[in-house]
Amino acid sequence: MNSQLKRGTLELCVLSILSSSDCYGYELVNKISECMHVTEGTIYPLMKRLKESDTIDSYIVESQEGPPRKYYKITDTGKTELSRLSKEWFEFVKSVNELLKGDNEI
Amino acid sequence: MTASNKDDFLFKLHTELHRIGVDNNEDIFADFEEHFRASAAQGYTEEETCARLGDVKEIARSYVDIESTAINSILANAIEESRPHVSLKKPGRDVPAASAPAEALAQSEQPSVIMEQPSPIREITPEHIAVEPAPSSVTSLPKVNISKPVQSEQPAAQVQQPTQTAQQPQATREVTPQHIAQEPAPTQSMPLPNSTQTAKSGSTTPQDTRTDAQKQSRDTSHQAELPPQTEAEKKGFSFSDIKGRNLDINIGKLVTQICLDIFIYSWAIPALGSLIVSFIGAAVIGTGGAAIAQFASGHFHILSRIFLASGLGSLCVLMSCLGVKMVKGFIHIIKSIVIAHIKALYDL
Repeated sequence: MNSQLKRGTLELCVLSILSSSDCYGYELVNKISECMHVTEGTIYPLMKRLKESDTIDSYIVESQEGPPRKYYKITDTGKTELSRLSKEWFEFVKSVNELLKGDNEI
Repeated sequence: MTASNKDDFLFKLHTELHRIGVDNNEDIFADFEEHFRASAAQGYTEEETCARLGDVKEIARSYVDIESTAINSILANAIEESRPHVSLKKPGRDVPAASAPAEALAQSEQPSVIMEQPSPIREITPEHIAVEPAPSSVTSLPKVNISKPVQSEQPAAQVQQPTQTAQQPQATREVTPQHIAQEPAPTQSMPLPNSTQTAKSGSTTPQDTRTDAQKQSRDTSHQAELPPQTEAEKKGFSFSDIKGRNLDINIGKLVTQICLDIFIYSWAIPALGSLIVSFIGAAVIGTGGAAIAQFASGHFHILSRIFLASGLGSLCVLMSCLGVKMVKGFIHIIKSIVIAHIKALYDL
């Protein structure tokens, strides 16, 4: 897949997952890699970028077993961004689908 | 480049990040260490986790993309404008919102404004501050000032450096405008819209100022160290290329790296080579010398003496020429190593 497209899609996925529940890094990576083929390591840079743009935030949770975990949560900016991105995504998918359908009819 | 276990992965990641100029990456490692822990808890081996994490180079590059998106997009655009032959690594990944003002800036040719863009991502650790030389003046000031440390955040800067003032009669007068010039720098850079970092850069702290000052000091210290190179390497590099570009690099590590490379390329390898050559040479000269000594011992005619003397003379000339060439070559190697590092850092 085109890396730019993939990057944008990943961002959308991360925000969407976080909007339903807070996750720690590994959990998030697993959720994403379950449904799409990604280089798992590149999700962390993405998280860093999202955090720097204030769309997500992180907090530390002490766990009973082992060292504390870093959880991510979506911010208000992130929610706005998510609705914008998902709107864009559906428009994009719709137009591609229409194009493909048109091709099939010919 | 996939790693084989956790330590290998972290080591490779560290090397890669350092190579491409991302420092202060403790939180990056913390993320991956947590990932390895969580993965191990799920029953995966370190090999499997590494394989799933993927190419270390790609991961490290992703961090740089972030950096360039956040900080260097304006610079990248500005440089692309002024230097069309430079192939920037990722021109397509800049923030679109930032490109328009950046072009405007590039056209108005104000690198000083760009230079003062603060980097909100980086944090200056105490170690960092200790290693970096003291913040110095802005690039546009006369060279005399470059070595003079100026504590930009502290109003007492003038009082703190009585020795400097003694050495340079003009110092006291010049510190004041510098000091003032440094302060408005962050506010000057505020109007630069950068979509991804507005929230953070809004709170400009003295730390930001210090970051700028440090970067400038690094830029200027390079200039102070290596002015003759500009002539030596005209074809590929001149300091105007990197003037005003911000990269947050630990200067101590950089100097260590350069010294190490210089040691390896201009000392260790030649030393080994000359050792081998000298063994062969000693054998040849020893054998030849013995033959000449035997031949000349009996009848050492005046003509032989003249021939021998002229031969030795020309040998001396030859050796001195060789010596000069070697020194020149040595200097050239050092220059090219330093320039190669700078080019690599600035991605030229």
